Amino acid sequence: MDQKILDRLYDIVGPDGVVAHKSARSVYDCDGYTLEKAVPEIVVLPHSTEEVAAVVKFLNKEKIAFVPRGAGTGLSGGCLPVEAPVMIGTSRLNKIVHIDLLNRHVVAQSGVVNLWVSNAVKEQGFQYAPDPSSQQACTIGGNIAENAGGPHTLKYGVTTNHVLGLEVVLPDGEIVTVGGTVEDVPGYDLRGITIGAEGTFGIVTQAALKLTRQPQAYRTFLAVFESVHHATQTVSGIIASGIVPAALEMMDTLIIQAIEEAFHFGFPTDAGAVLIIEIDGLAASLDPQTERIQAICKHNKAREVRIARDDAERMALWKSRKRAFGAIGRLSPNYCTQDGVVPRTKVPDILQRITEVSEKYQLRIANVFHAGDGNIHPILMYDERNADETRRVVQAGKEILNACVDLGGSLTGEHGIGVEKMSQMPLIFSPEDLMVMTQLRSVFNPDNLCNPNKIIPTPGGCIDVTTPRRQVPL
Amino acid sequence: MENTSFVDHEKFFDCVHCGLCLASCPTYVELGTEMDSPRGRIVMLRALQEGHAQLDDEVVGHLDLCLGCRACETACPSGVQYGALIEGARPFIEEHYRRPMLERGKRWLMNKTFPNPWGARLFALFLKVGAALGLARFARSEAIPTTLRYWFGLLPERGSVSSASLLEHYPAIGEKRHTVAVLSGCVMSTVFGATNLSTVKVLRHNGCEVLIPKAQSCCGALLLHNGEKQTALALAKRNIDVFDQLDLDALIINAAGCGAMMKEYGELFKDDPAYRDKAARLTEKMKDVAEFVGSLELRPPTREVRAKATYHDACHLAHGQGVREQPRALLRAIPGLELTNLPESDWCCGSAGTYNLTQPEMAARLLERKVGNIQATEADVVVTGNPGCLMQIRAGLRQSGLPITALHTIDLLAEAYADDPGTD
Amino acid sequence: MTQAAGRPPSSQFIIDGQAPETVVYPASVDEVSRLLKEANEHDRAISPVGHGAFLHVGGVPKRYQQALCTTELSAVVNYQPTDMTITVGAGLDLAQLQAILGENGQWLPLDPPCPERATVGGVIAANLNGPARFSQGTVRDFLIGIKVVRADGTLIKGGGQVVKNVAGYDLPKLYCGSFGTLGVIVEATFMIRPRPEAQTTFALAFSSAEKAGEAALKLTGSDMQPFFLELANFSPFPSFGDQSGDEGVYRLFVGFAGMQEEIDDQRSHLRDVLGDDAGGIEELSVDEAQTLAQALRDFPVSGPAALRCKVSLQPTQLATFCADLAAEARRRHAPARFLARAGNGILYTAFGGEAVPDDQLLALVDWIRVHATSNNGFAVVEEIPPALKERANVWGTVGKAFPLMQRLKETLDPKGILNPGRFVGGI
Repeated sequence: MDQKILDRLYDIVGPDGVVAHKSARSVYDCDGYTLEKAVPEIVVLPHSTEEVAAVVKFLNKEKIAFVPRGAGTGLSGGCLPVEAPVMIGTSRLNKIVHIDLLNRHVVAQSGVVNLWVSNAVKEQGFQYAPDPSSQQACTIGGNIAENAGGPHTLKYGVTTNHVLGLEVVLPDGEIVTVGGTVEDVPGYDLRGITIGAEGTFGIVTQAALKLTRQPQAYRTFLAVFESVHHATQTVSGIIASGIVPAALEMMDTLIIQAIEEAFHFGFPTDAGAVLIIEIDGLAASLDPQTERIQAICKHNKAREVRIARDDAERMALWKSRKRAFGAIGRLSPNYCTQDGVVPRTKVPDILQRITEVSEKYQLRIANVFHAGDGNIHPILMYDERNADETRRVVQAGKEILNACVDLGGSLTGEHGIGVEKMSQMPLIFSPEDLMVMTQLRSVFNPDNLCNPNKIIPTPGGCIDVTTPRRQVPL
Repeated sequence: MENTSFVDHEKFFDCVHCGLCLASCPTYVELGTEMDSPRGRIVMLRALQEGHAQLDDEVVGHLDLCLGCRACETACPSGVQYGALIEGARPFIEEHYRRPMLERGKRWLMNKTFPNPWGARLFALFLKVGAALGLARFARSEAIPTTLRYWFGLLPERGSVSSASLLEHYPAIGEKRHTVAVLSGCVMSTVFGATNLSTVKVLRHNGCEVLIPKAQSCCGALLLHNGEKQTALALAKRNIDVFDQLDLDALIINAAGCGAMMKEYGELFKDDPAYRDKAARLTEKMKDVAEFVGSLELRPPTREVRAKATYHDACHLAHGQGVREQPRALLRAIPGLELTNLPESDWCCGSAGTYNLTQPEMAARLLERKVGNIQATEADVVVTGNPGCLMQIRAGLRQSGLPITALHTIDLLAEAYADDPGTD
Repeated sequence: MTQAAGRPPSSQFIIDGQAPETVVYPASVDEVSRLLKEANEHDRAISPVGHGAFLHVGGVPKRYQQALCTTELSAVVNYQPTDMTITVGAGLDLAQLQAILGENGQWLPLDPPCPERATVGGVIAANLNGPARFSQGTVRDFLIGIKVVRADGTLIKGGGQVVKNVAGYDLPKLYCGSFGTLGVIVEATFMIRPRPEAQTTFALAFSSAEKAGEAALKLTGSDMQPFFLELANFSPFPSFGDQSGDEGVYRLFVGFAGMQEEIDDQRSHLRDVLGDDAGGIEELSVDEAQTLAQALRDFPVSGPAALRCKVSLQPTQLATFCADLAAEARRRHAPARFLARAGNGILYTAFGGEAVPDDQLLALVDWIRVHATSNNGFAVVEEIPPALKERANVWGTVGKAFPLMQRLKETLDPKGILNPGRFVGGI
């Protein structure tokens, strides 16, 4: 990178705000999606919104592309620097600015870790509802970029339902506020369109987040089934009975075994599937719902239905679930997780298709997913040192997503398109749909300097990933 | 490519790059740099091993800054043995990388001090003399260099240093339930002698016959942290020889740092036919004192201790040995004691073996954070299970002028048992 | 389309005194496309209209040549009760939609005014909602997929048919509250919910806005789960006190919904949470509760008023704002009725049944806007004599984000044929 440009960046953020050494910046070569890697030419870590704005303004002037990054826990390569020399990290924007319990909101910088927000208001009986599985490490800014979900979104919604307003540094360096700290702000819902834009509309530096009262009581069930079929029938039965569970999560044999090995929760490793069912709300409402749920499970031949005895057991159960992806590390050196969505009633169909794909490509695929939302997470295991297997994983992943689309679903429920699923966008969007997205991006990001080569495939030149671009930092 | 392998390569593949460890890492949260996170360090270690990265100031700087607190292992869902990776790299770094002179001198001094009984006595003498001269008060003086100021700050206060000569054998009080040995430890025996006596007292009150063989040596942890693997192994062998010949139910360790290291003897000698079995056998018996006493049916302590206490999880106890609940349960068993929750209780205090000596700046940042959290609890006593933490936290409390005492778990528990004229 | 050339315009399509030259009733998405393409080519200004119940909201049209009435796009495209989603044409009215869902014990959890005169497209475009927003949310929380015809006639879609979806930009959000200025909404997919099994309402009376506000905050800070929480300075129906808003009594209406067990439990705890200051807590009969729900729901458009404003504030700011505004209104001899969504910080106001001089109305708008913005809030004038609209600047200003909104409009409707002049900053 040009020394003059480096010097200017040093001027703006100071020496501790620039990572230029080769081995040092190599650690920024990918996020949780490891199939593709690219080392940024420089990483900038600003200490304030103003520094972010100054950096961006300068890059805009020089027409240098850049990519924002939070904690790098994303699963679709959203912060992979593809033809973007500069990476701007939000890790230093890690302050909770303001807590307003009476008005039930928190103002936090975008580098604040998701779980820190809930921890800050826990004692007072509040929570920040979106709880992606990576919540112990992922940042609010990343959650906003991806419109992150989590196991409890069935009842509580996703990130966009819990954000009141954003402070954004636009790709020209201008700082704007979209939305606010009150609920109804006149004008177009720019906050709504910025959330989930995967960092292509600018860099979010601060957000006003809604707080939710912690439920008075929880009840968490672990229902064990002989087959995935019975478990999915149970899911439909619960939904049809008029109950909106806080969470409805399913895990198949392979993932149960991995989790059991990692956390020793006491999952039956010979079960065909388990469901984690959680209801919450007023204590008075739990008994009648429990009766219904137990009856439905029984009706669908549940082998057993366990209820978490206390908060510690409930937390242990959720810990097992939330760390399921990582637990795969015990079964396989690498994994790639897919994030398709199907209408809830099509869950059995998609699982059947996944089994077929697994056989066809001779890959081990574990399933852990948000059954209540129809949001599947097949985990494809591979070893990146085996080039052929790696290629098969890419193909199999695509085939699974195609199947989701066939069944009336979508390519991604919460992980985002990133670089991973860009080439499949035409499966669900027409050229006109993609055109309007390109135009919307131009409204915010006219020169496409901010996180280029993401989400929208370049017309005519779809990058078709069949082999990883780069394996290891060289 | 030269052979740069320093650790079992397969261990790198346990890491799936999910990043869940990031926010558990004190240096990452303080600095916000991925190179100072467990995931980043693993990437660098792998690049080193594969020959893609040079062992230069930048890389070594980030690896050196690792506290070795292993909070990341607790956070990791994939079971990455981060400790093994970083400890494996330390000797490699010492062998292939030349540090600046001052840094080399510092490390040499430490490596010579801790494993050697004379060195340890020398160290104790330094601490005692320092304490007697009241050097700690210079910790806030602008007239001396920052590093020195920080080191002086760590010195214990007059009167708080105790060495105790221990007997080799103590009978159980009441009905005998177990035979145990105690690791006296080099820092423990010279600076925290009273804690060793407390350990003996609590064990005896709970029906244990206690053996403390004189021939035992330093556990080797500090050496290993500083990359002196061969010396560390020699010390470990000596301990294995000494303790393995006794007929023990448990080997009790009251310094979390020593415990975490010794519990790895089995792993360390797994390829050594002469020591493999002995090491594995002994490792099975190693128990932190709180872990062991907590597993007994506790003979209820009777003396009231009226205080509000809060518990700090020593890294090498919570993350290194998974001992979290037992010390808290013991504290709850003390009549009159109120136990309050410490925010970020399992966040490293910055002591981390000799870290506060080699990385004073980061250590001071973490200490400030820890003291702030302790202060917020409004407790009178902060309790923990590691001598390094105690020295560090005491220094922090003193510098902030807070009237809060820092005690070892077992000291507080011993308070609650009646004095036994036979041992004191 | 029933009649391509259009029927003679009825009063239903008059906006601020302006009647369109033609009204068209497309019966298919293709027809909407063709009409817009044509209009765009001929630079003909179009306003999408449903039943016309909310046309008084918004700025005076700069141009208004054609009304595009969506009511014939009222098909149920797809409804899978166990998927808890429904896709319908934008012209379906909300009352019909709820009736269809009701057959399966489900509903779209929105209760905007006049559901039989509010089309799905209108609810989305005008971001209409009602008291239930406190517990349920607003239309942006339920809209998961949308089809829109752009000004140039191209059909685009965003979102999909599944409840969780982050593929591509979140177009559905962009169209919520976009006021028909970015395209004609032709189809929408919603996530739906089970209908509450039981419901009940409590009425409480207080001698001041502050006391009523405090009680509301006690409820939102407790682990009670009110279905709605409404604060009013008038009685919504005659059997229940003064309807004018002059008596100085503030009422809090607390609704609960859900399983019978939940309602019973909350009934028994309401007094504990509110404390002794709460005075009388009256539980309404089923009939009363129904009448009340309707009155609360319809308040933003019911009864005569010379001026209606919607103010968005922090919930804690509501009570003081109400008390100060009541004093201001008295000073200006403009009878004022307030209804606040107390848990959301949203305040609806209606001034004057009889003639209030124009300058007094404008002075009230000023007062409201100054006090709202100084609290980081916003005020929108929802109804005022058209002649005053420009001076009242009905939407207020939106700050530094405005250039982005302008660019959005220019991108999606470069010739400005869709509802020109009706939205913020004259968009």
